[in-house]
Amino acid sequence: MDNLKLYFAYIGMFFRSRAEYKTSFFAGMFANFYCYFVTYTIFWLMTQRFTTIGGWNFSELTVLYGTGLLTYAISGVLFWGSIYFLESAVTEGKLDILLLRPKGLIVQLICSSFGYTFIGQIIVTVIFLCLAFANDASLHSWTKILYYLVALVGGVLINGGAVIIVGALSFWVKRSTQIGGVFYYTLREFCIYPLNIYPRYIKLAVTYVFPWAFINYYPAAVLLGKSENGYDYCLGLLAPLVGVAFFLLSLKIFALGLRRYESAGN
Amino acid sequence: MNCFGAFLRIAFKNYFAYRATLFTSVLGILLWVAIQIAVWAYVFQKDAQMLAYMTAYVILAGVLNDFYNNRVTDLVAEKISSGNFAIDLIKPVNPLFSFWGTAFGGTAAALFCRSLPMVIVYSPCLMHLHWSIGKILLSMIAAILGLVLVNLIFTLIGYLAFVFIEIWPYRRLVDDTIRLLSGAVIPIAFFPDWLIFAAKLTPFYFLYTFPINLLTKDLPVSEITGNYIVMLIWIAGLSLLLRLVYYRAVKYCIIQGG
Amino acid sequence: MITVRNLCKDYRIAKRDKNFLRYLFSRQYENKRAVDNVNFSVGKGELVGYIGPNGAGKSTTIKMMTGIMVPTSGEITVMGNVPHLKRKVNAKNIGVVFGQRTQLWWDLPVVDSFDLLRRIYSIPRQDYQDNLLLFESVLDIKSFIDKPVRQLSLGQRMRADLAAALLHNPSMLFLDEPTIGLDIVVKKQIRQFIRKVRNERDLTVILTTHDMRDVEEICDRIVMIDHGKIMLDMKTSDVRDKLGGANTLIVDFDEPPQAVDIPFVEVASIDGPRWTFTFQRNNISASDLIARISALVPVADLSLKEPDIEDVIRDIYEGNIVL
Repeated sequence: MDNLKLYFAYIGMFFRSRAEYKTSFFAGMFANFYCYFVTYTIFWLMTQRFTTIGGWNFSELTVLYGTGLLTYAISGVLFWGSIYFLESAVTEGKLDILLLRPKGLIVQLICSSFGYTFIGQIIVTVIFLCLAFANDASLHSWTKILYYLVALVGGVLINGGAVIIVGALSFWVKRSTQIGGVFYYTLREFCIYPLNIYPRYIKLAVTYVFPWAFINYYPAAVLLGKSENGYDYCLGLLAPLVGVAFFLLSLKIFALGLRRYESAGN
Repeated sequence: MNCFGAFLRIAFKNYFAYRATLFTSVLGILLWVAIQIAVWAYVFQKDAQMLAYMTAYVILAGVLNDFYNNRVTDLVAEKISSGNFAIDLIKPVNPLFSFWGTAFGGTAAALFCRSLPMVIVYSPCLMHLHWSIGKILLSMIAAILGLVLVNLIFTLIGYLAFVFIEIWPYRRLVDDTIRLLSGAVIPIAFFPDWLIFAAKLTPFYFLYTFPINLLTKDLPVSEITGNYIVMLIWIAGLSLLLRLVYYRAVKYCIIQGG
Repeated sequence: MITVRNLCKDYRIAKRDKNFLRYLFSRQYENKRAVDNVNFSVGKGELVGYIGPNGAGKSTTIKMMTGIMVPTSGEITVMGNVPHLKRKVNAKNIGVVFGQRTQLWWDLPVVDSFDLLRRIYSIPRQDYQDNLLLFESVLDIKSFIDKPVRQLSLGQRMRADLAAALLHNPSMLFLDEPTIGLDIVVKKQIRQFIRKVRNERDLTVILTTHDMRDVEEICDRIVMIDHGKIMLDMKTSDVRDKLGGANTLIVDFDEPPQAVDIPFVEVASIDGPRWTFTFQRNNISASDLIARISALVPVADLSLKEPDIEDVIRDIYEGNIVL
């Protein structure tokens, strides 16, 4: 509860300090809005040309992609700014200052990284998701919407966990963001299209080696009735639990990294 | 020209500073190209000829992406916001030299360490193309003109730092417009007609589609020369604009003191 | 307050290989002992200057005492806690100021930074208000409390940082080069403030610095570390008196005497009417000496030069004084 109050105090301060940079504030948000608007446009162009991809039409692809993007953006607002770039905090010695305070490191990092630019992609995604939900009558049921909300929480936890793990890597290696760039950002790109279009091992890789498919593919397949089989359907239902487990794992890894930092310095 | 080479060398060395950079950047581009190919492999599973074309397209677009992807905006903007732009006027070198030298160094390093391994790995997918020295040369000329165009555009955006505190949003806007209209992700030929028309009105149209088609297709001579001329016109126009902006900037620095 | 026993810290350092391929695929390490069997303790209210040349192991020790680094071996207790095991408890007991970096938020006005710290440390409102009043009067922070930190001068920033470190009423204060880069006026102000809060709150202070004037003017005791080992641990006045070599008295006579013969006093040089005497404090006091000289012949003018701590410390660093 105290931490929540602290978080809002930080956000309040953030907006006050940002007030001087109003142009940057809106330009940053707009840039993100536009970037993802372009991506949705590319999907639309693809479906204009090929009607469906893997049997998914534009509004279904929107749900698939939008789920991934929305959960990423929400976790970005919460974690991204300071934790993903922990390597710079480590090299600049900012981490030591945080460690000298009587609060958990993760809590302080979350507080200090209000990722306002992600609001741009949240807005664009919510618009496209609303359109997709309005288009698809099969989604107009309370159970589905309830399931979807829970799945979103799971997706936020997986994305947040990934950000925390990439940040924690900087306790071991330099340039952790480049590793994150490949194994998180690039690999996750597989999941912007339905996984049934790829060779089988790709699906296995983004399910069991990296849990990125649990962010959007399995939940979206459940929601749209497009699970390939009963097993995939179960994975979709379990996705929120995977999120919780992955997030806890990331905290564990972060704690391990911090212990290493404390014994090795920088 | 000598100092241009020095900047190039420094940028090249920076690229190797961390070994992780090397591994991850190669792995990253290999994966990225694999994802694109996998998607097209599904879309054109019944059309072997189109699939072969698209595979080559994706690989070549990957190379061009490294070719055009540089940090010149950040270099210019950093110089300006740190106040070093005015200081650099003392040096007997046009600051554009150092920006472009560093940027080209980064490009050369990326081509050598990322694109080259990628092309080698995927070379079986390029075998079916009818290679000829003439085609390669024509394509390279187009790509180099494209590089000049990109650098002009991004240098201009860098100068926005005189007006705005943060300029990454503006760079991103142009980046994303290029991503859409240049054919970097999907070939412009797949666009509806009105969008093709719109793309042709921008300089971005020539960045990906033109050099790739020069290699993979037999374009009529009239189209080749026509496109070259339009590119040169764009370059001339943007150079003029850059010159104007540069002199305004120098004047501003001298009067305002940076 | 602090006990440090047999404290050691090893670093693992990667060796860079010139061979490019070997550089890519393998890496060799060597151990470097940064802190080597260090022992000392600090009592309540002491003001200790912790000094040593660059790379001597100062900041490593400070990091271990503040709980952000784990020792390789040995033990530390700070107010009954082992710092790295009880980092958060320890954090409430101590305040830390780094001269080189700030813990304040760059874009926020100073007062907003203080408000965030109030929440982070859960400082009771009354204490917070009282402290703000104190800092306003002593550190004169009122003049810039509404400015964003990035607009402050270095001296103002330092004062704001000192205030920030003391907001939560810690019993111990660690100052890491608090006067670095400051002008003489601000330096003096900071020193006065440190002494003042120390006296008012019975604060224990550990200060690292390269400016020996800091040590000379405010520290009761000097602990010196070099190559990871404690080289010296004594009262500041003792350092001057016991290691400082001779005091010097320069006397201008109206009419120079034939000879001056006082026990324990040497005539170092004679330059016309200006005579230079050297003597040891523990043998004869300066006032005694002056009285005895002026009893012999009338004195026109005189000046006394005490040994400088800076000279003493430099001599130790350079190996001219062997301890």
